[in-house]
Amino acid sequence: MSVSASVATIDRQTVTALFSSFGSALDAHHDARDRVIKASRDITAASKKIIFALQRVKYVDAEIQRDDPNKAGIKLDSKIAGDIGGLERKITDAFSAVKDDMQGAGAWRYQRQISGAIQEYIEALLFREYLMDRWILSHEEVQKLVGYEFLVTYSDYILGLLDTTGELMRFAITNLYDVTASGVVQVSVIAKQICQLLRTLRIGFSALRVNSSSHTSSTEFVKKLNTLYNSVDKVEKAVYSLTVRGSELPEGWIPGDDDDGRI
Amino acid sequence: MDLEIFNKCQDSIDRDSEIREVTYTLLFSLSVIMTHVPQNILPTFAPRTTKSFQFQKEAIQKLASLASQHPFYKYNALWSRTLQNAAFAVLFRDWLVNEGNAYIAYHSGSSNPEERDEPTETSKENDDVRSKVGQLTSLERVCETLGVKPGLEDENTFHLTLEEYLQATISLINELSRLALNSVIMTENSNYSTPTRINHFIKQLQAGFLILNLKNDALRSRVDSIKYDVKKVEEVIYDLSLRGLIRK
Repeated sequence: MSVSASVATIDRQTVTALFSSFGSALDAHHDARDRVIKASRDITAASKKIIFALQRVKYVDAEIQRDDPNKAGIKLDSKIAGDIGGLERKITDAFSAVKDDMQGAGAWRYQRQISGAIQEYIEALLFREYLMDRWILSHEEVQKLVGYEFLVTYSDYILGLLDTTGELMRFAITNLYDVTASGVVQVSVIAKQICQLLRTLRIGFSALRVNSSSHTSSTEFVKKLNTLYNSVDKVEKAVYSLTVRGSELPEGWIPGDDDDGRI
Repeated sequence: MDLEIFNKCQDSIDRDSEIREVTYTLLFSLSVIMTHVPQNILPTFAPRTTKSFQFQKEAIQKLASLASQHPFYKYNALWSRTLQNAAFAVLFRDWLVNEGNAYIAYHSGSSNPEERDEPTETSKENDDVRSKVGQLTSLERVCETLGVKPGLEDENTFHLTLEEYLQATISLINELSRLALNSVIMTENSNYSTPTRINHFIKQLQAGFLILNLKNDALRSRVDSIKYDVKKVEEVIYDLSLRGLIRK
């Protein structure tokens, strides 16, 4: 084929047609990414609300199965359970909205946009399951709960778990006091269990060698690990205080709650 | 918790980095060759670069076979810039070859096919946008030259993405603005026709880029920088026409 026959004019028309097709492809990608970002915001917000709802649980009021205190689970009251149910539905809807975008190559393409939301959701899941079943879900179990259509990276799982330790710390301290039937104030079972759990997790996480890659950040991990150290310190200190001073409290002394005449 | 996950990921990341380093070194030497070629030997330029492109193709093959073991976008960011530069090298080489022909045509006033160096065969599917002011090799042709499958955006097979191609095109524009400047100073016989062609070429591409709807990302800021290249070349044209060195 001679050269002259293959020469086409670079003119407005050719360039416009070429770049228009580029534009469509880019638009499709940007739209998908925007959908993922929106879903991510919704999931994060709902997950945070679930966590707040769980923090409102009062250990001493919640029904507990007492046959084996180590396996004791909390039963949520109907108000909290209802709130959480509604929020879970919002999360499921948000995930469904981007299910197609997150398939195939999309799973990794938009991973960065959904990563935060997944971590927040994992935090809510782990927190709830621990309170209800005294069990920390594994990565596989979490992936199963989230659904196999959505990728849960090991990075998101670990960072989510680290965030959960913070919530557990808060819960332990809020629910530190337990009053026995005879009126003795002592450290609650849940606080002791959480304390032990946090200590175990601390050891485990300290042993991990994490490097940065294109989809994980070692600085984030180090930051959260330090938060874990602080959480463990807080819980240990609180449990220690109550253990040491519990016997010094006057008989019948109840912490807080003045309008409750319960003994 | 399975700690093995970390070890496995660490290994693949290290391997990626190795391949990336090899490719990068190759590309660097390639780019050095390309930016200092005077106009008058452009026609014989193409064969000289064939060997380098062969090396490049082999390195990319290794990268592709490694990357294919993972979902495409998982590690894409690691090699994206390097692959983009490789694409740019192809675009620039093709542009220079076409320019060589255009230069000869302009100065000899002849359109005799035998005097030209046919860069590659053209076929209808390849859709290069080529003309007497410049050639923008198509995405498909670039993929062919690099030995990469022109895959669909949403597949997990190793491919050159549209964004990488567009970034490479912008790199071409950046380099051409430099060439416009240099072609005036670097040749013994003054070359004032190349800047004119570059001027038209860059402006057409700029118009094309303005059609895209861009988000505030890296591509957007690079597209915005095209105007500085346009300005640079316009100034060259202005200087030359002011001194009567080119006819408008």
